[in-house]
Amino acid sequence: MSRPSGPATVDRACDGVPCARHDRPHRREYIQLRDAMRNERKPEVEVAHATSLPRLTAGQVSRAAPCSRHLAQLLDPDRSRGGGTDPSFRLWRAVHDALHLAHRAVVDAGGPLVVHLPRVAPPELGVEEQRVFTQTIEHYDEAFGDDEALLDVRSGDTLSRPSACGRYHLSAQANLIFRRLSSPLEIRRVKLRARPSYELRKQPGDVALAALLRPPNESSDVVATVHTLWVSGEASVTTQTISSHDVDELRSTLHQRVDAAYADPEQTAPGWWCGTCPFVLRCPAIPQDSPETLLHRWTDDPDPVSAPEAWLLPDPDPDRVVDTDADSDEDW
Amino acid sequence: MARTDSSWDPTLGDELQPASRVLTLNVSRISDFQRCRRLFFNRWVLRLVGEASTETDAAWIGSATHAALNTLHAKGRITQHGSHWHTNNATPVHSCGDEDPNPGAAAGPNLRNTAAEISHDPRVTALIRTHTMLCPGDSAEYIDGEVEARWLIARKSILITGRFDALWRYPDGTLEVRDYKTGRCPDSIDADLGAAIYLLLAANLALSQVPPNQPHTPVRVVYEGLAAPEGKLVSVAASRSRLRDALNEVLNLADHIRREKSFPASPSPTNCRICDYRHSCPYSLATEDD
Repeated sequence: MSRPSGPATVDRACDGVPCARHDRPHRREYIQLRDAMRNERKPEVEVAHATSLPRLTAGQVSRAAPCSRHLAQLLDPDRSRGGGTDPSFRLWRAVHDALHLAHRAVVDAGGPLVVHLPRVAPPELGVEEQRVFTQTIEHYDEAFGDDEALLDVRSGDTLSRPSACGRYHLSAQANLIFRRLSSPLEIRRVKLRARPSYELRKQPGDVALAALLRPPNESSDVVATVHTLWVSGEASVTTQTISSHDVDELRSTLHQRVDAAYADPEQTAPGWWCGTCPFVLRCPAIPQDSPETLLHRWTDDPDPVSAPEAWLLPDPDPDRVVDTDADSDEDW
Repeated sequence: MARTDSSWDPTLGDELQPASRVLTLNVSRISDFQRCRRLFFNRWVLRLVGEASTETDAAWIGSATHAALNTLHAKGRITQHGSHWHTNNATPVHSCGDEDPNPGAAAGPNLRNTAAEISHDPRVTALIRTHTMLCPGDSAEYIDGEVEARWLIARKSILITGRFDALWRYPDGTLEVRDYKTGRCPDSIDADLGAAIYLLLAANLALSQVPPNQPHTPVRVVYEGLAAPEGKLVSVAASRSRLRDALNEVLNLADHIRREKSFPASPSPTNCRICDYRHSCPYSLATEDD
């Protein structure tokens, strides 16, 4: 497995001692840098709280890309948001919490120290989940290893900021976001599945995070680097960069989609995404005769002469992408 | 967010909560549930990755063949029993005459990759050649391929979904759903649950094309066995009794899925040998060699 570039070893003997052999900061300098970085965090990025504006994540908006009704429902502040605990989330959460705690310990201790990754899965996970947890940590260690140059790590916060149009909060969850000395924001994603065979697109959730966390005086074109660890099959890491152009493009896309949803909130675009749409129950685009109606109307001796001349199927969408990832919250 | 519904079970996925969310059913989910409930729980509730989640050779051949047939039909390349279709191992699928130089470009990355690779794989070419012997193109009109079909039973909060490999209409109005089988194809599908789901979806589609009280067109589902040397066609027609049986079966299964709390394993050498979770499931009967 190829590692992303970056420091990989820690020499404990150098802690707190000026050392010409290493270009990374040592403890005193590290603490100064860390604290400075914490203090410069953008004040307008806030941890999400109760707001009258709807919170939209880029993933939510993009998941049912052409369906204005879906987005209009998300924008409706009176809609029922449902809730509950999705058990498929608990393993993912356990992995991210464990990694966050391990990195956080280094930062809080005033590193640089070896990152001690957990080797034992939380007992509340099931047997199969524990296996995946342990395997994932091993792959993570192999892929990223020690991380002594880390200055800040965030995970678990839901960040949001009002959009420029003032109609919604752009929201994103921070999971394993790293800040280092003299390098762009780094986002690490752990995907508990195999790497798809098709060319990966930049994830709108990552672009939204980059947009939310970009320092105000950032002049570099590269806003963030995203490392994705795929843990199933042949474990591997893919790396993408998010540029200012990507951020602008996302903002523009969101703006257009929200405009379209406000303009015609009943416009539907049924597709594979309906299978995971939370609003499907009252969607007029989905056929929903009752079973009784089906059986009542069905005759075993239909009259072929009366068959309709043309089937009114929707035109195939030339831009449709074969869905291989319909159930992910994060994917386009 | 706190939830006040006392029937809410936090150990289950949203979609499994009684009457709170829509339960999506398709052929894969149902067959997994029937095979082993622990498998269903791992795959569809916990969404765990399994050991064999990388694409197998057989799965790749299946995907490539489906994608190629869809592309070729969409371009009108397979008609009249393949008279527009030239195939031998030396002739690339997309190389003749007025071909689009970028086959599958509009159909997403998977299809694009697949179409580009077809000409290099004789196994896919052989399956497509078999299809030309079974294709109804000379007697029926091709409506569309990879047709997403949905039927929401709102009162039960069940969404039945499926994807027809191809949809044909015959001159007498009969609507025919084709399902390509690049592996094993059964000899009869009278009692096949997958065919039953396709029948329900196709019947619903047929009824949606005509106003209430107007006669509908006949509907049938055909499995096209492409792996058999001469090809094989197996069909079942929609009848009221068949639809009733299918509905009962699907609704009963939905009830079972919603009621299920413990998702017990159904270990057997056959089930476990091919299970994606065979090396982590404590009940697995799979051996190391599996």
